[in-house]
Amino acid sequence: METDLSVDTMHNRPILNTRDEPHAVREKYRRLHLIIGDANMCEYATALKVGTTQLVLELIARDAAPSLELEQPVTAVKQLSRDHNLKATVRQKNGSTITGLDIQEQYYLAAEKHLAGADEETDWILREWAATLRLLTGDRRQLVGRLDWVTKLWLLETFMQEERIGWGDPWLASLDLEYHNVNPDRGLFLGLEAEGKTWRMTSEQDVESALVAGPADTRAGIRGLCIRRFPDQIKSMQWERIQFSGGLLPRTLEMGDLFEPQAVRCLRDRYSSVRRPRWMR
Amino acid sequence: MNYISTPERREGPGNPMPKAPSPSDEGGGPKRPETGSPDKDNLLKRMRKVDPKQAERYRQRTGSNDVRGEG
Repeated sequence: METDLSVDTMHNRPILNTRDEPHAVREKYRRLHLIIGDANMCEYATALKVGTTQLVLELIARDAAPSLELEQPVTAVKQLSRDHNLKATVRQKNGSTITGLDIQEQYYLAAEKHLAGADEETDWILREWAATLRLLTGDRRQLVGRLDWVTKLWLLETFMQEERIGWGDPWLASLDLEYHNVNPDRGLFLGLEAEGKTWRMTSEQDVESALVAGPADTRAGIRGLCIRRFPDQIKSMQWERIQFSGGLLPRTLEMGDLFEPQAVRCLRDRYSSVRRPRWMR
Repeated sequence: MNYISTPERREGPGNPMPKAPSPSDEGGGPKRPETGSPDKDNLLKRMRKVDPKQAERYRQRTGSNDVRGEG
């Protein structure tokens, strides 16, 4: 993390990306693009990250979020993420200091107070959030395979012990990177996952099907359908439009306002039923 | 959830959470690994294959001073 707000993603990485591309009805929605957490591999961590963010957004919408404002958010992210003893404190704008766990607890308590019982999903998030906070200060080993930093720390400490090396060894920086490698034959996390040692929120079947087909009633589903059915007819493809060549389909499929699930389903049915003339097969 | 009024976004499955043991042991949640403690032998083999200079080359290639800052 290098800055708090920016449109960049690969360099000058911000906590909050300000790109104005909602992928939804522009008049009603704004994009919330949080760069922090991009590198998560654990499905459980991802579920907690998305779930707790959803609850915090709801607290903000209800004007019920804790009154917390950090003096230097980027510095705080680095301080907290590098302190695996969870003792580091960061300075708030009001001059007081606070630990990362205290920040989490304040948000959790507010969410529990205002949102508990809203529905099954909310209660799942609250339950797992609380359990994770308890384990962070208790038997943290139980979070291996659930939280990335705990998992990676366990791997690195095990490796250091086996190889009799210290934290200054450059090998550890390479292992740090390799943890996130998405090549199943090389990635350290994926090696752990292949042995069934990580917590799964999805099945392999879910993942395999998501690789080739986006959600059917979204623009992603339409794009996937076109790639599967008309790969030789596609000239260019963006979220807003697909341009075709070859004469089988209209030259341009405009999708800039295509958000209503029913409209997407109609379009999907239409493009699913397109048949190639005999001379084109 | 129904807190923020976003009906268009409620079209998907109601509850993405599979019905399986929870890490908190208090209800539905993700699937628990088969055993409690990860077997480290295969992972150590995989870790030993990692080139110790990989991070250094990454820094040179990307111009990054902080490997952890890139993703």
